[in-house]
Formats: sequence, C-alpha cells, structure tokens
Amino acid sequence: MLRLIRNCSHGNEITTFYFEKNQEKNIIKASSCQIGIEQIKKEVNGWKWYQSKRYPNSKTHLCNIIKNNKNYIKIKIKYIEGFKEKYSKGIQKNSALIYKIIEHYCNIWQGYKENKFPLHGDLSIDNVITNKDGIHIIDWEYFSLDAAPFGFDAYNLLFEQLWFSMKERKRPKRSEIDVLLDSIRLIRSSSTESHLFLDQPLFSVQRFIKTNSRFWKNQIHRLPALLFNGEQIGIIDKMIRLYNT
Amino acid sequence: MKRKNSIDEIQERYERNADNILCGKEAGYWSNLDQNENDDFIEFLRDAPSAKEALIIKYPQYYDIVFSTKREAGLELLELEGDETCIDYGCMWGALTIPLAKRTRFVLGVDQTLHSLIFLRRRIEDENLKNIDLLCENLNRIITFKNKFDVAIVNGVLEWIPEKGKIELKRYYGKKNKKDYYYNPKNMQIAFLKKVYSNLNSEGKLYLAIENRYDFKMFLGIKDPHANLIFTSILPRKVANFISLKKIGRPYVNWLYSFSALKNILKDIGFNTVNLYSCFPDYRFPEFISPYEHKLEGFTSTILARNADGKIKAKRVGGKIVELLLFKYLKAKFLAPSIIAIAKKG
Repeated sequence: MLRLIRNCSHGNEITTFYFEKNQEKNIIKASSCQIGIEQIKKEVNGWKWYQSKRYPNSKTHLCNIIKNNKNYIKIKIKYIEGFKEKYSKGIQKNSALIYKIIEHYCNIWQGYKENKFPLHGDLSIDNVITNKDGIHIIDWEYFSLDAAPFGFDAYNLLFEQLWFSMKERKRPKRSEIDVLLDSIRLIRSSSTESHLFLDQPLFSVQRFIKTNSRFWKNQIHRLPALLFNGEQIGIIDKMIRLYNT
Repeated sequence: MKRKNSIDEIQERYERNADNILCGKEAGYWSNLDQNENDDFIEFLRDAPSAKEALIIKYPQYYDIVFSTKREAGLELLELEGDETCIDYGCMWGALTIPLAKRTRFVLGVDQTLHSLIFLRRRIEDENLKNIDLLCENLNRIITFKNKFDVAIVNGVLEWIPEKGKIELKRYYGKKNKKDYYYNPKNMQIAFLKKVYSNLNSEGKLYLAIENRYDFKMFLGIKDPHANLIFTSILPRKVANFISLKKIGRPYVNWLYSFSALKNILKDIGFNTVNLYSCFPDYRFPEFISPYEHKLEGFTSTILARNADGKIKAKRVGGKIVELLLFKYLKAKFLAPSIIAIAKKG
C-alpha cells in the first residue's frame, strides 16, 4: 500500500509516500531534482547521526537508500508510530511538549564544541513524534554537521511557536514570554558552551539564519523566526531581557 | 540489449527530421498554444539559453504545467526498478517524460504535435539526458512494436483520444466549433488502449491518469475540464451530447469514467491486475493519493481557501468544507477528483 502524503511541500522538490507492506511501515522520499536530491542526502546523514545518538543500540538502519543515481534518489525511513501535535496551537498550549522537546534536544546535542553543533534546520512541532518511548525528531532534510551554535534548533522551535501564538498581534503576552523564558533557562542550564543567543535571542536567531542561508536555500522563507518584523523583534527581545531579571 | 533492440526497431521504422525527432505518417495538432504562437515560440526557443527560460519569458502561465516537480509524484506508484524501457503516449512538453527517464533505462515520448516535441527535445538537451527518443505520430495510428515496452504512460490522454482534427486549445475549449463524429468515443478509447496493451511485454505495466467522471466538483456546477460545459461528465451520454451540440456545435466525446467503469475497461482489455488510486486535488498536481480500496486514511483538505493573491474566497472555503465532509468524514472515495490506474499485464 503506497499513499502520497506530501508533495513538494513548502516549495521543496521531494515527494513523500507512506508505504505499508507485510506489516512493515515506512516513509518513502524521492526526488529527481538536484535540490531535492541534495536534501534527501542530507536527510540520510541526519538520520545516521540521530540514530547514533537517539537509538545507539538499534541494529537496523532507520533510513536506507533504495535508489541513488545522478538524477534520482529514493530512500526508505522506518515509520515511527506515535502522535503529532498541532503546530498551530502555539507556545502556550504546546508548552508541556515544548519543555520535553527542549530536554530531548539538550540530551541529544551534547559532546560538541563552540559553534560546531549539528543543525536540524527545521525543528518544529510538526517534525516531532511522541510515543511511549518519548520524543522522536523526524525530517532531517536540512541537516548539517558542525554547523550551528548550541541551542539554535531549540530557539528556532520556540520562535516558531511564539509566531503561531501571536499571529497578527504586535506584542506577545506575558504568559507566552514566561514559557519562552522557562525554555531558555532549560537550554542555558544544560550546557557550559557559550551561548550565541544569550543577548537578543530573536535578533540573533534571525541573524544566524540570514548569514547561513546556504542551509535552507530557496526554502528559507518557510522559517517562522524570519516572519517577525523589526518592531516585533525589538519588543520580544526587550521583554525577554526585562522579565528575565 | 532490450533498450538497443527498441531503439533499433524505432529507427528502422521511422525517419528522423532535422530536430532529431522521429516522424510518423500522420502528425496532428493539439496544443495549449495556437499554431502561429508555437511557430514564434520555437523560433525564440532556438536562441534562448534554455527551454525553462524561454517558457518563463514567453508563457510563464504554463511554467507549472511543464516544469512543476509535483507532476511526477504518481510515477512512484509504478515501483520502478530502474532498468525499464518505457513509452509515454501523448508526452507533450515532457512533464512525465523527463522524470521517467531519470528513473528508468529508456523512454520513447510520442506526441502528434511536432512543436511540443521540438520544445521537449530542447529540454532533454538542457538536462543532458541521453535515454529519450521522440516520435511524432497520431496516437490512433501508432504501430505495434515487435520489441515490447515494460512501462506505458497514458497521462491525461485517454479522454482526448476520440477527438479529431487540429486542436488549438484556446480557440477550442468551450468554443463553438462545428464537428461531426461518426464513431463511439468509448470504442475509440478501447481500440487505443488495446494498442497500448499489445505494446507492453508480458510483465508490462500501464500508468493511466484521468479525471473521475463523478468528481464531486462536477455536481457543484464546476465546468467539465475538457468541454467547458457544466454537468456534461455526470449526465447520461446522450443528454451530454445534446447539450454539447447545442452549446458548442459538436458532440460530447471526451468521455470520462468512474472508478469501476475504468477498472472494467482495463480488465476487459486483458490486464491481469488493476490497482486504482484516488487522487486529490487532481492527477496533474497531486497533493494526496490513496489506494482506492482503502478508506482515505490521513486525508486532509487539498483545496486552498486563499487564491493566488492570498485573498480568502468564499467559493474556495465552500469547496474546502465540502471536500472535508465528503472525504475525511463520509469517505465517499468514488467522488474523488481524479483516478490513477496502475494496470499490470502479468
């Protein structure tokens, strides 16, 4: 049974199918375009890295290449049973899950130095599956090793959720900033690494994305952290500083 | 070896023109562009940096139809191994020919419109693909090959098979154009599919994509995508004929089929296995494809509430609600907009 579940979403060039055969469930990703092929190769590397950290005792590969030539690639990823929360609920309603994801992030992203931590590049509520075994991060299409300062993906998740909470509003609510601050404290307490996002976190996250646009190429516009305007950035970073003291 | 045999046979049977396109006895004309527009476009194309840039400059409205990578998703349903020889009937500008060639050993693209094939030849050169050949021929006149193909593509073509004469879509679609037809459209379509069947090897597969006759939108008064008339696809053929004759001066010949009728046709022709898929919002730019025997698990709406300008439109919101109601909750899969059939001979 083959079912198309996503086709070139957010301007990428990847086709995603759900595939079930003999009670084995997989996700199939394929592309015949150069950008799509590159992204799928990143996904393979991402899964390899994540598997080594998250499932070190697993004997089978979670992600396998089925076809790979100059013009076409097709991979198979083991389907993870579980629950996906709605990303559109925003930072407050998703706060419990956000804390769990941040803890998971801090546990997995250990053992690197300076600004050379692995980058997921699209850590979003929509790319997290929860089940009885905990948190599982999926969709590694923007993965890169030695690419980012500690915390980048976690901050990216937080600002994505804040953006969905605020929608058309200019200012965040105090309760939304509280969730943000609790999460930031979690990130800061988990690593002795210097934090690039310590001061003016939203401004710094945006700056990192803009100066490293090569990781996202033509899909950079999909990152909610970039959707905040200058005024909102000033207000949010100021509120974080103010309420943190 | 198989690929070499197919190429040798095609080359023995057809002459090549100056554009390296094999030419049959009876070309025709079916295009979104008028003939004079196509003449100008081909002239422009010859000096353009690439086919893609030429289209963006001259006809950006057709960019997605030709180049969108969304179009190739359905090919995954064929579960290709990579060593297949394929034939793409009615390949036009190569929306599936190019991605199919990237997945397989060899593709023969067949189309009756030489202009479209010249454009496609340029695309092939741009992509540096060496495993495609092109044949200009009327699909109803195509020969039976001795060397059979592993895969046949009939993508948005079956409903046009009963048409005859030159079709410049802008002047033809929904326009008064008196024509007489002396044959039954279904018989024409079956005769074509029999030829497709006979050109497949004993384990060959057919990929056929077509709109569903009972697409839910047809009941809401959306116009038939081929004749541009309301209700013609869902009404009895005789009534549809009557309306078509009155409104556009010609009978209704672009026959579509329901899931079960299409399956029966393919089975009667001789295909051993026919797997049907429901396709949303259509087979050209699919967002969701599900096996017909399944209950549309995981269905989410494929109709956007906003138009291209980003404005929310009441008609679209209504369509979205109806779509969700019919397919997410009522599982009325027989009303899906499009059908993809994967038919296996062996």
